[in-house]
Amino acid sequence: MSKVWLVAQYHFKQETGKRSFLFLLFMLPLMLMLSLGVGYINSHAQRTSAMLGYVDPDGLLVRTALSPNDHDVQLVEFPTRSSAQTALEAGKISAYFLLAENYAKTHHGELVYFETPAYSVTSYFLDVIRLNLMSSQPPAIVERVLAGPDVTVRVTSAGREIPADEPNAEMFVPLIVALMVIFLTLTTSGYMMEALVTEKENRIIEVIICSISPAQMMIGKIIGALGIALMQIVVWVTFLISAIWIGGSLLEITWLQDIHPYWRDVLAIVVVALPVYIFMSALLTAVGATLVEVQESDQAGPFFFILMFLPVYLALPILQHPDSLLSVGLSLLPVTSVVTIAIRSLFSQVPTWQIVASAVIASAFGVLAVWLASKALRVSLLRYGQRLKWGDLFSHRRSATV
Amino acid sequence: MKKTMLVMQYEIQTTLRRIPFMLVAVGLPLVLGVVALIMGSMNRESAENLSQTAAAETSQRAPQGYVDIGGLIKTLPPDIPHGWLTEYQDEESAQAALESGGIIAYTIIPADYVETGSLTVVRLEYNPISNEVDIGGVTWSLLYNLLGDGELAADVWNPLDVEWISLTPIETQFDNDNWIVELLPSLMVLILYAVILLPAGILMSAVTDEKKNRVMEVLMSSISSQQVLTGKILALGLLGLLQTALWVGVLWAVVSLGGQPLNIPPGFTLPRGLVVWVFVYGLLGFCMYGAQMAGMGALAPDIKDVRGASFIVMTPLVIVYLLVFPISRAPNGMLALVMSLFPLTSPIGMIARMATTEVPLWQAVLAAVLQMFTAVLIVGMVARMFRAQHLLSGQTFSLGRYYRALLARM
Repeated sequence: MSKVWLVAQYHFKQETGKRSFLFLLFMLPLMLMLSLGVGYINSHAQRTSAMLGYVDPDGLLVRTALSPNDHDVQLVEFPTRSSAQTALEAGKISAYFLLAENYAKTHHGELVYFETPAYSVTSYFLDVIRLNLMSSQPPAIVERVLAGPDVTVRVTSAGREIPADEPNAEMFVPLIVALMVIFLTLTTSGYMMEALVTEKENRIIEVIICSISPAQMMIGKIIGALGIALMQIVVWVTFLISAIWIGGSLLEITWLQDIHPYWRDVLAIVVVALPVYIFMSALLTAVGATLVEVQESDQAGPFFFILMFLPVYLALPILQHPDSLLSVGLSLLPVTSVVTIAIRSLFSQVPTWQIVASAVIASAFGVLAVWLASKALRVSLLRYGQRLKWGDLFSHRRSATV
Repeated sequence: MKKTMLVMQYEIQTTLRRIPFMLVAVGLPLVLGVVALIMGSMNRESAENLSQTAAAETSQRAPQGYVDIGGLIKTLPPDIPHGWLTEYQDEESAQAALESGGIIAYTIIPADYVETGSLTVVRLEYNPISNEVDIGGVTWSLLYNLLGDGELAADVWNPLDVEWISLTPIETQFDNDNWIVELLPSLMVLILYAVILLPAGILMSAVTDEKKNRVMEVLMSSISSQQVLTGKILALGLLGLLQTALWVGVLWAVVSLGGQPLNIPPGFTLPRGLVVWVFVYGLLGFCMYGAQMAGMGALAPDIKDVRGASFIVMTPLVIVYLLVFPISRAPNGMLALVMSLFPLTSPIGMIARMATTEVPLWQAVLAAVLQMFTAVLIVGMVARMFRAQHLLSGQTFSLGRYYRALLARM
């Protein structure tokens, strides 16, 4: 066990000591926060852009702003259709409404535009009409009618509450955790694959194998990779919590406030992710043992990325039928289980037996993959410059070459 | 020239024989395209199923209940069908009706509804994808009672019967909310990213590999370093064009064959001018970034030593990628103009603009000319690095050493 621990320590220190690792460790969450910040700034910048014209022959619209500080949409009155049309063609307004002369009887109006106005713009104008129709009503009722209800759906079978209008951040916590796990799996396993190929290239592996068995070396590397993954998790979760705090408390983004994740779902992801991580690490290590050049190990990564992201492409059928054969099957398959369970957890509760089964299957595959990786390493040891064929792993022929 | 062509030929053959390259550059777009079309077909079935489910629920107006804690609903509007909306005195009785199947959902209206607006709809099961939350009956009843005037409530409920009049010719009308119209700038930018960076990365590793396995020593005895660099850039530039053709071809196939299952607007196609410029900017972008990466490869003893540093070189592309959204939202603004004309960012920036709006031809040509001059300048600077003293040295790589060599101060 001490040799395994030595290999794990060495692998951990070797990778985490590299400037490139530290660079990527902090650069990724910083870039994510930067892109979210750019998106937030941009969405604010876009808010004040809509100028909407209107022609009101009956003089219904006395008030033309929902609140004094409202600048999202600015209404501009025109006396006639032709003046509004001229302004539209000159680009001074994005569209204009033309209320019919007998609006009180017909409630008819036209919306004239070149480019379809955003829903928020047309909805704003309808609210202004409502505001003027309810001019004699108490302000509290007017405010409530215009704001509309805040609807929450309580699902008794799943024991959770889901906002009806737009999702809140806590629904996506399991999915975020799953995506972090996937990314961690691919990056740290990539490190392992590369380290293995490099040690083969520079022949150091021959020296190592004199002292410990391939299985011990594999386990040591996997433990080292786990340590690297934990370090990344701590850094990224810290950034995530900081981003949520900045977004919710300082920028007052509503969907980042009052987040109470469903910890059962998060725990389910973690329980399944751990054996999946070991399985994928060992599998990628086995792949690395068959490769000849470091460059090839870089190019093998994207395929496993696509495989693990397959449930995202199938999100609609999974979400619509979370208990179908497809959804349950993908939840049990080690490569796709983490993301599938995360997607199913968005609106429903994955049964406990499926979580346990998924973890057990992934663990079994993990043990198999570790065995396969150590066998691949042993067989490929002296095959410098030759790519190992998978069939050779199970061949009983003994090679006479050295 | 003959030796340059030989290097080019060899590099093309070697790269095409690399299975990982073929799988990523060729296989990946084909697989993604096929997956997109299959998913479209599956999504069409799912969408039909869910529209049938939603239609069944709403057309039959399945009975619902409500628990009015504050007594806000004194009378139901006359147009609500009898037996469709039932009041329950408390949650327990409503829950019992729900569990017995008498109602599909019930709504809890708190006493402070006017202040908070909070409504809780209780269902046994709920999936936002396939189940709509139909609270129209409850909200209409609340409006009817809060305003106290049926006619006023009807006016407020539906204030305007709108006739939409578009002045744009039908063949150019595309709903900006459609996903393909919305995502086209991002998709074209991603394609350009791939066609610039993948060959550039291969170019860098090709140089470091030949340094590492000492083939460079043999090469240097037969041809000049400039011939090596030019041959490699030409080879990978051609492969980059092939890759561009594949990615654009797959996108064109998805757009042409996706149709209604993928919610592609009828008549929507990839703009031909945009496709041509993707090829032009892809090639010029590769020349600029590929040459820089080749220079790093010339100085580094191993590919691992330059990974982090190559990210620094790619920073202009990363910055413009982060700004794709504001560029596509304001394609004629100052930010978009700068990003589309500054040579290191213009391959991506200009394509992002072109995917959104009509860019004046002179701007597109100017961007290409500036990129070309920059590419020539960078290739010239990098060629100075392709000397035996660098190619055969085993010194560790550092960014400082790279930029000093690039600016020929070493």
